[in-house]
Amino acid sequence: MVDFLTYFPQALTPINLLVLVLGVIGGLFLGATPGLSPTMAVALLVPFTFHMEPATGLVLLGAVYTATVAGGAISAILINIPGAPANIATLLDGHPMAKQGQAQKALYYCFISSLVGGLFGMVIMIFFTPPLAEISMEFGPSEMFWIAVFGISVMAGLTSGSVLKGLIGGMFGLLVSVIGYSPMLATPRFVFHDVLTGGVAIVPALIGLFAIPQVFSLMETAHKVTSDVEFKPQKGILWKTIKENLGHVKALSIGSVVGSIIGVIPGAGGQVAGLIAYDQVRKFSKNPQSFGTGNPEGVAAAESANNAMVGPSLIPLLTLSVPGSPTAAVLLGGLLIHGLFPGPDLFREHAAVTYTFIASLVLAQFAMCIFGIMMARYSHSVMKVPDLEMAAAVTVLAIFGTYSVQNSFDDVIVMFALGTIMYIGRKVGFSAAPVVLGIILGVIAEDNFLKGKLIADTDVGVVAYFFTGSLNVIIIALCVVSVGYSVFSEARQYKKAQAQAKAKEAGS
Amino acid sequence: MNRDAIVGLVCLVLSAVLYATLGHIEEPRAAAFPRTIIIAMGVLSAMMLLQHLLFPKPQAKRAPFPLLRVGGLFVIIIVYLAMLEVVGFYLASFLFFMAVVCIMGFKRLTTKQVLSWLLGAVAFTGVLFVLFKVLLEVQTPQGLLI
Amino acid sequence: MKGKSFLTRLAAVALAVALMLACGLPAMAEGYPDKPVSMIVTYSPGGATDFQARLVTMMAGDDKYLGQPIVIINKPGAGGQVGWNWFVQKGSKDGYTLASYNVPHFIAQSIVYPTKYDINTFEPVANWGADPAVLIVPKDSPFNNVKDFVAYAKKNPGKITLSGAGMYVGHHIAALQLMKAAGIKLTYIPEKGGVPAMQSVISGKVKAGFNNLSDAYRNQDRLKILAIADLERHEFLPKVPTFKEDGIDVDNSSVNYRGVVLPKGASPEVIAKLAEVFPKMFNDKKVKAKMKASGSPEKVMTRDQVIKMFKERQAYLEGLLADLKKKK
Repeated sequence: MVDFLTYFPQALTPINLLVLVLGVIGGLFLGATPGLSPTMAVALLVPFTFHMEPATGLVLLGAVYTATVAGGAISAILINIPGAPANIATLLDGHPMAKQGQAQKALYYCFISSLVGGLFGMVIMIFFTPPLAEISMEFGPSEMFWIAVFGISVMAGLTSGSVLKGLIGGMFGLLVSVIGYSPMLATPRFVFHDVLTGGVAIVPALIGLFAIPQVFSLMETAHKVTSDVEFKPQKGILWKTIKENLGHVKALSIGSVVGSIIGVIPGAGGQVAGLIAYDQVRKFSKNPQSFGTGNPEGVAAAESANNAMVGPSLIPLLTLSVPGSPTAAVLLGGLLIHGLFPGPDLFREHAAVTYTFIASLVLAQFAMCIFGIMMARYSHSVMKVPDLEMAAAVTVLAIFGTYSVQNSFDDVIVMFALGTIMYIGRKVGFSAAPVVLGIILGVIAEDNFLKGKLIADTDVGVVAYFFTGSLNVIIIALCVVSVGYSVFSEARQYKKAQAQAKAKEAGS
Repeated sequence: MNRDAIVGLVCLVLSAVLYATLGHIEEPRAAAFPRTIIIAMGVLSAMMLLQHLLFPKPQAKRAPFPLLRVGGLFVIIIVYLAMLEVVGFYLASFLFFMAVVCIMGFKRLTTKQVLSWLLGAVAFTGVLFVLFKVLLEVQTPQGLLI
Repeated sequence: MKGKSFLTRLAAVALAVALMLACGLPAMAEGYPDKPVSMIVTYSPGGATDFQARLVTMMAGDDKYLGQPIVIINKPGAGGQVGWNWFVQKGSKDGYTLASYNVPHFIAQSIVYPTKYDINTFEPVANWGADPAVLIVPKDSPFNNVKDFVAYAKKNPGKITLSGAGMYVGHHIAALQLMKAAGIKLTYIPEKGGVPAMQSVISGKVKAGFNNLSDAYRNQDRLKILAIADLERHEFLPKVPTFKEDGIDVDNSSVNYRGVVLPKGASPEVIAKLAEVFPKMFNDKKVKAKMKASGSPEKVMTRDQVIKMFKERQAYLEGLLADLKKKK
């Protein structure tokens, strides 16, 4: 902490501040472009830092990382397409709010909650790096397997409607994750066509599952002069919203804590932090039915979790050179270019650069919130774009974003095919969120199970390996509680609905 | 049989078909995970089928499906995809944008409207081009043109 | 915001627009290359190969070398198979699509799996790096040298778990060689890359591992490095003995060579031009400094040397992997 304060002023040089502000603004725009993920944005900018001072280069990368994570929420809220897997949970309530003419409020919520979560995560990182680094090393194959199972248990709650449909969608996602060569054994699976040899990458799948159904839905209504909702700037709501937002203590704290925990787990990828936090907040809420219909608490939970993840995800990266998220992996490259090897040396020999980087991340949280709120004032103009033009533009961006991930036309075809299937699925009541969750978690679950089994066979046996050890037991308990609670609340709601129906009959 | 029961049946059949294709995976360890998932999916689908057969819920009336509009867009996107690697991303995107607005919005066709669409399409693809092609050097499908 | 090159590009935009207005068409430069060249990296962004590929090609835009930038394209999957298959099947043969290679990975895969590529489908350009595999164990491991390790493995066949970056990568080859040479049985755990494999060892989830010398060098405070699978000791780790010093016949066949190839069918002029320029570019002072600073061992080899190295590895690996049936 003392070190942090000593080096803090170094982040405040004019050049660093300029780079910070430009990085944040650019990051917000890149993040808001459907199809451009934070990982992509950071990867695009790493080459530019070759020619910069190490500290300045890292300030740029840190600012862009922070801002794109928040920027992805803009397209999630305004056009129902998440900028990154992390923003899926944001759109569940953010987009309904926007459709009710409250886009600006939703965006304010998003940036304020991001700031709260982001600062929480940075504080955790600055104070608790050494003990958390120890904990993050405890996650081996068995723990990671159970984490994935826990994530799968969240799927059931992600559809506003049938639990069974949520689970079936999740299973479909898990199956999609299997397509291509098996990562451990290099055996081809379900490669029904040439384009599937590379498997289905997460970003193209995300774009396909959300953007394409949205494009078709826009087209369904494009010919009508629709919407009785008037999209105009909401004036004078900033202070009121800030007060209201900070009042959601429960949503913000659950979001921040869940996000931080998931950030520390190496390889879990902050991609699922938002969804898990969202699920928890809903379970603890008094009226869970209001989630998914434009409840600002949902936005607060999701966005605070997303940004709380940023700081802690750097802990395994900076101390152990194990990146906690795909974006952190790209940041690692940015560090190495300047001869900064993650590890204890980083905080000793390169303390100036390292702490400047950390300080800039803290500053970037504020810059992100301020510029985000300024941009939110113009959000109504995005809502005013007619459906027809929006559908065309989103299609172009979807294809652009998909292709640019790995310059693969095959990915574009896969993206469009998945999107078309999802459109049909949406018509009969399936949602995209559990499918994406399945695609992300499938790889983690299978890989760690096979690895764990290989290790266990040489040692204590599979059962003992997966079911003993304090971390394993804790995570298994969480899974049981999560599933149990879902079943319980489902039953309670069913009874409630029946009682209401009876009361209605009796009344009429 | 209501719609959700049919959906359950379709998912059940899909699970069965996928299960039958598992044989193509040569390494047994690589087949274990997909097999488990397919069985789980089959069980869930069967549950859904039974649930809606035994306790059918009343169905809300649905609006007719705008097949012409959605199908039209689908066809235009297919043409766009086919064009991408022939004429290049930026030009194809410009043409795609114009095609969508003019064909799907033919009721609104006036000279003024077309001009404003043209302007919008040029601005949109132009911004993409300068930002991503020139400044950030992102690769896009290339064709004879840009 | 991105320093000089950003401004330069802004200026270039202005210039290009002016040119287009003036002539109606952008002027075409003469000769190869007249546009950016892409290079396929068969591993994901952030990994050692990706990172080094970006480093060694960063000077390509300089007029001394290519005069055009090299754009890195990641096509990860199946230990590199997805990217290399794509490269030989769908990559353009006009010299504007290059690929990075990893030996022994691609050669071993072409022997064991029905891949579309083998040493005859690639035209080597130059080699930039060589990263030997080292045998590592956790800090608190009872093994202090290779003798302890082998003695334990002899008594407990199959009980030692050993992580590596995947199937038939250099680490796996080193493990196969060690098992054969010392007459022991180990349980090889293929991971999704060098970084997770390293993490498993540091945290003690596995008992040992083969990993890149460069990564082990960076983490040496938290590991014990028992031996190096090379012919000589390495300058980065002068205290670590080779396997041969301990009397175990493990040679340098598992050393991870990284370099650049063109697909078969590229024109001789293009091959000649790149084979001449690339070694010079890899030897550029700036590149060398960055490679050294990031702890990446550099080894520049010319086209002829690479061709020879490919052939030697092919002959050796065919012998080592003879029992594993080829499914072509």
